[in-house]
Amino acid sequence: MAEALLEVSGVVKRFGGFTALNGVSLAVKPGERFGLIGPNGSGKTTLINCVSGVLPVTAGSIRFEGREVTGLPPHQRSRLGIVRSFQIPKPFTSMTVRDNLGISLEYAGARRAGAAGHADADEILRSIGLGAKAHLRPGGLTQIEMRKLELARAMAARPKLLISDEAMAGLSSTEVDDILDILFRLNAQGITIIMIEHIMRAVMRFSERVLVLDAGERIAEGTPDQVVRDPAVEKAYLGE
Amino acid sequence: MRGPAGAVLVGVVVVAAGIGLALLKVNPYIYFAGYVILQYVVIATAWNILGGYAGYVNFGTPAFFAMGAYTAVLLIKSVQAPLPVLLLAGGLVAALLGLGIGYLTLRLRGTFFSIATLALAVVLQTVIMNWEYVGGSRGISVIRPPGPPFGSYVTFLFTVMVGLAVVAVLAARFVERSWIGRGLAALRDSEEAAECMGVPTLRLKLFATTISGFLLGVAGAPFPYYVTFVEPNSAFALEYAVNALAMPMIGGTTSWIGPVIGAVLLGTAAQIATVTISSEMNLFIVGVVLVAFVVLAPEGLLGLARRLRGH
Repeated sequence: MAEALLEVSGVVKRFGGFTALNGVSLAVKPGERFGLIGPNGSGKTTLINCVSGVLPVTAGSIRFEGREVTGLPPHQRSRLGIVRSFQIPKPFTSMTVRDNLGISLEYAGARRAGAAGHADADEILRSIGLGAKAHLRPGGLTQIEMRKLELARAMAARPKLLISDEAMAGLSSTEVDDILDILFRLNAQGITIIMIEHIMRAVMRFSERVLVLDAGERIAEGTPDQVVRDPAVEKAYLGE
Repeated sequence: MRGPAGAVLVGVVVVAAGIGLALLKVNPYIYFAGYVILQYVVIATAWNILGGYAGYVNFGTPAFFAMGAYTAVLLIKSVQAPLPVLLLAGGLVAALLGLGIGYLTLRLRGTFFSIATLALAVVLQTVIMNWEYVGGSRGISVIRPPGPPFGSYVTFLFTVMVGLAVVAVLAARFVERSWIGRGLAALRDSEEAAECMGVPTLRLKLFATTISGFLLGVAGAPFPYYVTFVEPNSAFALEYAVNALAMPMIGGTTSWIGPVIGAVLLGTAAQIATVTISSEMNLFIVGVVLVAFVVLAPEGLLGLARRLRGH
């Protein structure tokens, strides 16, 4: 097996007396499409917050490209190539769509601003289908456009690993396909992707490997087919 | 005139105009009132770097202003330090205070940060009131150095304040148009998203609180020589807290010119009201105008102008 791009080992996260993650380990290979699923409250977003650095871990370690990143703040992790989108879109509302991308281009991506940055931003926006909206403020976007902006802004940071946190929740099935297409294309460009999703059809179609969390513990891992047949997974989702 | 060189040129012209006005020896009241208005240009501009660009609303402006003023009092009384030293020292002490509140932003955001800055002003005022060496609650008289340029000391201070206002505005303009300003705008909109897109939010916030504090302290440093009698109630006046946020909000907080417009308009209105009606009308006018703007034009005059142009 090739050296893992992201290696999470024994990560524990406690909030006071509540254990949100109880010794979770996973390894994502370069170029992989990795799915992360689990019932509500199973710790998926907490895990992503620990990987992106938004939350400090209580115990355990996170390595990226063989490098220890456990103690790094989020902005340094994003510069190394770990970039996430947010479940609830958090656009920079006072800026145009283009300038939203400009921030990640300037601070994490190509490290350039001005005209060259504009051209890069416009290219990303065109590729994702937001080309005509570059001059608008995010307030004027529809729900799906907002999700696309989240992804476009993450792309502008030039990620090696893109973590997509429920980019499709609440979208119609054609819109889900639209987002899936974008993620497939990014992956084809060599970007490793972790997808967190509730929409089973999407995760199962997209992922090469799936990890299932329940109550902060890893209960199954394997190909989508293996995972859906796993009795432990069935129990977690449907009960006894 | 869009580049930094053009801006500096405009700044030099403004300073030259200020000196020209000082040489004209018009009615002394003009310099007296002009000083106050320019002082508010500095205060509003300094406040806006933190409050407008970074979105951290500081209610504790009087604390920073008074740190500048009382550092000056201390240095005048102890070593008779010259004015440039007072400006620098007053700025540095207030900058340290700014760095301190910068670390508060690690845990306090939004309203909670604002409340903490308000509490800071109260605490510092209490400390000063109990510090006899700088006059305590009774206050202290300050004697101006002899032989100022331009004939009178107030006229001289007026030209100093012209220079400080130019420096403050140039600094704010530079910050706004640099990568720092873009990063501050991002963290104002969403601190979490900014951090995840590579913006070093803590470092930028510390920069904003420190430079904002520095400029507020510089604004307060010549105050003892201006009033010649410093007491806590005037150095920590509520007016500074209210005006510091009202002026940028009326002008517009997203651009360096907003606080300047707000300070000139509101500062002038307050001076006219003081002369023609009464000094108590000052805060009343500021309050009414602020409420009107918050309700009718929350993005200030700049936002209003943008809307009228249809953007």
